[in-house]
Amino acid sequence: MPASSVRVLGDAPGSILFVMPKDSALYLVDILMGRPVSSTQVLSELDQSALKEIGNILASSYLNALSSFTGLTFLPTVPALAVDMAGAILDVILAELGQLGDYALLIETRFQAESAHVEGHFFLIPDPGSLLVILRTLGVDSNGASN
Amino acid sequence: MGQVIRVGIADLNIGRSPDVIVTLGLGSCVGVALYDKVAKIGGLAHVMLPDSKQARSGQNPAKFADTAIPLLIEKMERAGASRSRMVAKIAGGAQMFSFSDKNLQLNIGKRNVEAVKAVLAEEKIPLVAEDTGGSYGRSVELHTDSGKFVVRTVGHGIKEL
Repeated sequence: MPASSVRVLGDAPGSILFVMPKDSALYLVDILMGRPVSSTQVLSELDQSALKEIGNILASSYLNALSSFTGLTFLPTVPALAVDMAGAILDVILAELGQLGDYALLIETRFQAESAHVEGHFFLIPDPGSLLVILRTLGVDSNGASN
Repeated sequence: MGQVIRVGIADLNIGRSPDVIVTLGLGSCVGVALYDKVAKIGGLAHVMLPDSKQARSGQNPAKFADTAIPLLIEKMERAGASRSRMVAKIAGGAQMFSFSDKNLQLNIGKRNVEAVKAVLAEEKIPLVAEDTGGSYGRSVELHTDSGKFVVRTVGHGIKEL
């Protein structure tokens, strides 16, 4: 299962993880590279770079939206990619989340490309303290937000 | 044939020969296997974070190295294992994502491995084998009939510790 990760710096530091099923990743790479659909079976270095770029675009547009919503500044870094067993990638997400408690902003992403659709999961994992900063700008009381 | 005992994330369990104890998908987490070869009793913990004292929510002792390992020892002793005969084998603690800027690494994996080793030393349990670090996930199984610890990966082969 491929996943891209972006560290977020700025007013509310954190991590973004974009995880997608292998089928979706291969399909997306085929479209991006202008190859016939389902011709790619193994991700080349260039394909992996393309997936990183998708992670980058998603993270940036998500952070732009969140930024205009909250007035906070978010600075995404260059993404990193991992292609490995799904459990090991979820393990990392859970470990990062487990440090600060039991809250996550969870968004399922669906790309619509003519007929087929591509699925993925998009996680914003605030560093300890950052969730409070974000929620405060949204007017959520800290008693309800912190554990 | 013994049972296959599954250990989830931030979870631990024990078994006796010929059970096989399995945990899947170790990324930055560390799989800690303890084994008493005389009693043929084994225990496996899927440790997620190094230190319960640094966490805000510390209700689950199996989640942290400093609380999971003592609990695992206790469970094995209650089942008839002897602490003085226990040896440890560990796997996991990878850095799944490598950023070009090393300052951005969170290094949970490395911190987990260090914490697990420190706790094992404190509990005076010899660490006899390890397969840690790297940038890939691992699934592990502890065979309680022999103490064999099998580490499986995607694209990095299978190891027997």
